[in-house]
Amino acid sequence: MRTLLVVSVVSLFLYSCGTRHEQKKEGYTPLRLEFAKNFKLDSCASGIRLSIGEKGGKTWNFILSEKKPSHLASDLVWIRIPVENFLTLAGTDVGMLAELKEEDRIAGVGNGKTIFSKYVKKNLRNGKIRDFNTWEQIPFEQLMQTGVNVITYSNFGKDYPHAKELEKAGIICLPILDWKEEHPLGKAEWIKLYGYLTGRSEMAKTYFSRLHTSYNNLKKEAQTYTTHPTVFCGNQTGEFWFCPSGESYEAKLIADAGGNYIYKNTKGTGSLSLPPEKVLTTNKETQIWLNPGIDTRELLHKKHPRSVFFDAFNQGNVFCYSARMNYYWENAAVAPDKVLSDLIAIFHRKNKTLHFYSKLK
Amino acid sequence: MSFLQTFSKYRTGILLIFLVLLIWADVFTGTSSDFKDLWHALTNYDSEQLDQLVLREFRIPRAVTACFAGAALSICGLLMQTMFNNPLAGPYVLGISSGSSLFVALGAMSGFHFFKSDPGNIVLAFGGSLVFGLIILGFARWIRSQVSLLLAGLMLGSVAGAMITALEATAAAQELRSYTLWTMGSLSNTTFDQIPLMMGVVLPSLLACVFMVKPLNALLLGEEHAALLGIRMVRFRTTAVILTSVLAGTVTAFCGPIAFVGLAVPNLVKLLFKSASHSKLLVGCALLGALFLVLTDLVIHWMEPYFLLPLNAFTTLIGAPVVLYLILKRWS
Repeated sequence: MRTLLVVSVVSLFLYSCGTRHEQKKEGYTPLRLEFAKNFKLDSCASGIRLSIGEKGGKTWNFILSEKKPSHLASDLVWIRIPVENFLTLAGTDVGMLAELKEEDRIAGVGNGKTIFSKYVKKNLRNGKIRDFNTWEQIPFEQLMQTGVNVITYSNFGKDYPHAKELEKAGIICLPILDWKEEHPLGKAEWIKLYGYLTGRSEMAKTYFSRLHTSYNNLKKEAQTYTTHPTVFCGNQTGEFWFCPSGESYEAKLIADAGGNYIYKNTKGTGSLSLPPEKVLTTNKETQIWLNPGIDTRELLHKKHPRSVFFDAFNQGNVFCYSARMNYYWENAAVAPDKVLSDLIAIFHRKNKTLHFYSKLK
Repeated sequence: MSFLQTFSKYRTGILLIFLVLLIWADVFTGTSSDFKDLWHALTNYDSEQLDQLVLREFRIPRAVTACFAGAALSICGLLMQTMFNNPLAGPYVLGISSGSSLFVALGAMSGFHFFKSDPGNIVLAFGGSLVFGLIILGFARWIRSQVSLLLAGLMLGSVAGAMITALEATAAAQELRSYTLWTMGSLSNTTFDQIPLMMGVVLPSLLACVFMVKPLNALLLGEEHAALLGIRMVRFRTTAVILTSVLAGTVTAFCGPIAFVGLAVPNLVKLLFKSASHSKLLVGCALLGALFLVLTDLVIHWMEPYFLLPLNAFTTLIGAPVVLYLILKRWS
């Protein structure tokens, strides 16, 4: 018993010395991120250390480098860059890679039917990109046949199935948490990660910098308007009405566009689930209804007969991106300035071409 | 006279009074409306008046739906339990509700807009329960053992569940979310204009159950005795399955699948009424089933300021202990 105790204490001491020594030797230098909160990039001797995870939650650590580091801490997973073949399951990943002109690195997608990218669609047709038809567990053999190196997937609290086993076979599962970002520019800043993964880091930085300027200019323009129309969002599904919380990405966009979001004072970055009855009584006279999830008034009325009690519906002030849903999900994250421009045009009745949104007819 | 003695003497009247009081509470809780508003909402409706709007568009349809859905599911459960001579039978257990769910899932994940709308859901849920009900009926022609038939129903439910899981794996996130929320059940999807349609299907089906009293009572003596008493078993089973499919399918179409009501309420009625007569049990099931769902809705209203409780979460919280009690009672 005593021997076991001594061995344990010595092992623990040696392990802690080793880890401390490793960290000191690595000398991490943080790379600048302005808005993104759910990933971190640090430069170190072995390459770029990538940490993905929200504050106080689980963190996934990776080392991005061309050659495998000689010493790799046990909590780090090596990703060879530039990544040759991606399996894109997150949705926004296709848009980010397209913006970097790196779509040819996409080897597979979760569901071809939900893809907007013309490049990907064309290559799905000619068989260069594989459609796995699922976001769930994909058979290992199929992944190997496709030559996938990295799987990008939206992590909604659950790791990709058998991530550890896939890692042993050289297929790295990379959780994408851009959907948890609170600021639209934070979501867009994930392009820097794709920049490092594809060897286009400078291009990604230049793109983001241009985007930042464009977003801020539009925001300043919105501040010049004196009217702030009232806005509500979402629709009823089952027992609840779902709409974005007051601290969410969407609420931030509405505020920056000069809209007065009815639920702006609510807490949280996710979505609110409200009793439909309360939503109707609160928003009967609200001026603009965004994102009911349907692209025609007729269909909205059919699916939600109570729509007719909202003034916004009767006055034709319902706007949604549903007409090109896949285009929005793929590209809005990487182009929040275009979303903001749309919202400014909607709120302040500017006669401009909308990028993502359209008025329900 | 103790409460129980008074209850057993005047049970139907007491349940009816409770039901009326609960409906009243359900309609008015959390609103500033009064009887005058209710009267206007029904007879001289002005949608510009918020109080009338809330009553007409939300409160009245919810209370009426709760009454009809509760009564219909409870009676379905009673029919199944007597037919299969098993207190654990019900539209859920026999896979009839699973049939509705499968068809609705197929519709939600198909590309057709119609099948994603409420009328589309009604058609699909009704079709699904009818198809699965007819499959059960087909099994019933070949399988003589009641336990085996119950197992066949369970297997049918499992097959539907597996098919739904397969569909979910390939569904888009939005469709999946819509379907998942639909499975939680809801009383708020029914609009005032849909009430006549729901009542038009449910009410005649409930009344038709009155004609089932004699065979149901006879069946308590066993199938052979029932046959000797002149009950034509094939016809009886066919009618019972069709009635169950119509009732369960209509409720599922308007509210989504509602768990445990069809299983728990008939058993509670048997405990409260202490009678084997189906004339009493049918009335009891209709009243207690309605009362149970109206009470559920009322609790959901009370809880609203703190958190939103999905309908099925509450019915399961009440129903599961009843099932456990029955199992333990059987063992002991």
